[in-house]
Amino acid sequence: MTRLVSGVILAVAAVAAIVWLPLVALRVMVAAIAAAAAFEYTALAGISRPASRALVMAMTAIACWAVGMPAWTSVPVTTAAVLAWLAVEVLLFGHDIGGAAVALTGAVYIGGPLGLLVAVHARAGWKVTLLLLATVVVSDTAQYYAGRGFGRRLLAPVISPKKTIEGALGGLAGAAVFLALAGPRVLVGESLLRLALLGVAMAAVGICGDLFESSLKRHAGLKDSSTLIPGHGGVLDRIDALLFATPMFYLYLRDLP
Amino acid sequence: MPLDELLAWIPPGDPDAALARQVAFDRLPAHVAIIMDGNGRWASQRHLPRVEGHRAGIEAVRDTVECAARLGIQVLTLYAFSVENWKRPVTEVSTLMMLLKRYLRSELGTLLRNEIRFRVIGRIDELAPDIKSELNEAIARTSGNRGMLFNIALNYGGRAEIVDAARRAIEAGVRAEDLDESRFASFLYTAGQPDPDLMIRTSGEMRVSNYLLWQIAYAEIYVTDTLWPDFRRRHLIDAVLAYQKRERRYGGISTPAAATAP
Repeated sequence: MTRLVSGVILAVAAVAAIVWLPLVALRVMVAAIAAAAAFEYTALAGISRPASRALVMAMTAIACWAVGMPAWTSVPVTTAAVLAWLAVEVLLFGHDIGGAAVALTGAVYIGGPLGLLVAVHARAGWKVTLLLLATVVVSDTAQYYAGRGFGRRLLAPVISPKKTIEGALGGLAGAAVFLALAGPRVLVGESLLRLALLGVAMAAVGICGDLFESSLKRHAGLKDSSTLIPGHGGVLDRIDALLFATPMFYLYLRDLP
Repeated sequence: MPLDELLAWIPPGDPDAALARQVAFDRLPAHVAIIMDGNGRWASQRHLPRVEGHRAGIEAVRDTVECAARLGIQVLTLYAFSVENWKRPVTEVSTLMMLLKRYLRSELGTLLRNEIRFRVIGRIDELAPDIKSELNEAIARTSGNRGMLFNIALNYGGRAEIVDAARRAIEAGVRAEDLDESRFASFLYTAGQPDPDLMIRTSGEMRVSNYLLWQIAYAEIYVTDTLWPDFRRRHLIDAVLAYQKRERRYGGISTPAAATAP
């Protein structure tokens, strides 16, 4: 019950924000979500020192902000910022290279895709952004029901004891059918085949994102990324598939006329 | 009936349908010319690269072309690329040309379905061979259509057009005393087409920018603050409605019939 109530509240809040919030407010909100997800990431990745955690959260929010403004994104500035961050991690915090890389990965893994989500909104508007989110939700739901109905063989027994190959195939099919049906209303002039293929690709990388996050949790020995969302676990648990699916969707959109 | 054509395309319950019903279909502008301005501004407002604005502008072109065809407008001319636009960064120019190619490929079906005839005005010879062949393909495939004439102004300049027309008149051996306005107009790129009755410019700029200089002599000018990527059928219908409220006198005084018209 808690799961259902908080799920509905989350969905309504997300849709309302995407439809009504001005772009600037959306940027702020998504950067805040990125920081919250980065907080969970630091726990999973074993970054415990407060200053280290704060730096990862801040850099993830900044990465999200910058990636959401493609006109401002600059490779030289990014290079300089990354080097500065590495220097702080190694010289100031005394981390080894591995520890520094773990910190940086948080900003890339979370800040990049959430920034692209804002860029999708900036470029194509709220309908297309909702289409992206809905595709990921449909894929997740189709995986769940296909897995429950037909699941026999485990997809990745070491990482996730619940995911099955049948469930994954159901997710691919669900996303393909959904995008082929709903896509043409929003992306005018797109062929059904291309949309269906995009659905398959998004579901496939979404499953990778799901397994990636499960693997993070498994290494940390945790079941949920946090208890921020009652009944759902943490923010990362909610957006794991979205993080991997968004760049794919953005690239597809960028190459549309 | 153009109204039915239009309503069949607008989803039921859409406020645009009410707007479409206000159009007086017996007093449509025969020729609508549009300066598509504001793509760059649209992109920079969103912190996107300029080329993203051009991509977004394609959706506005799609909507406008189909709406104009369904309204029953005879000629639509869109200003896509001027002779001065070569001054822009090379990457922007090449993206514009690439978008033009993709637009032609993806929209050929729409053009054929709506009986739209495609033409290009401007110094086409100076364009890249692949663009030229793509354009000629679209022109040839749609040449049998009987519906709206859709001109794209490419590598176009109003003064360049007048100079080209003068050269052609000289080459044709026209004697000075035989050259009058209608004879001269027959040497323009738009020979045989009605002059624009309505010229729309988006993005709030009050300039003509070397567009159809000869042809807009008596055009009604409508400027909207809407940026081109945001321009949709309702904006086109708004412009037509504004046009139909204007009193056109062509330098004369209003006639009693026009004065008492509703």
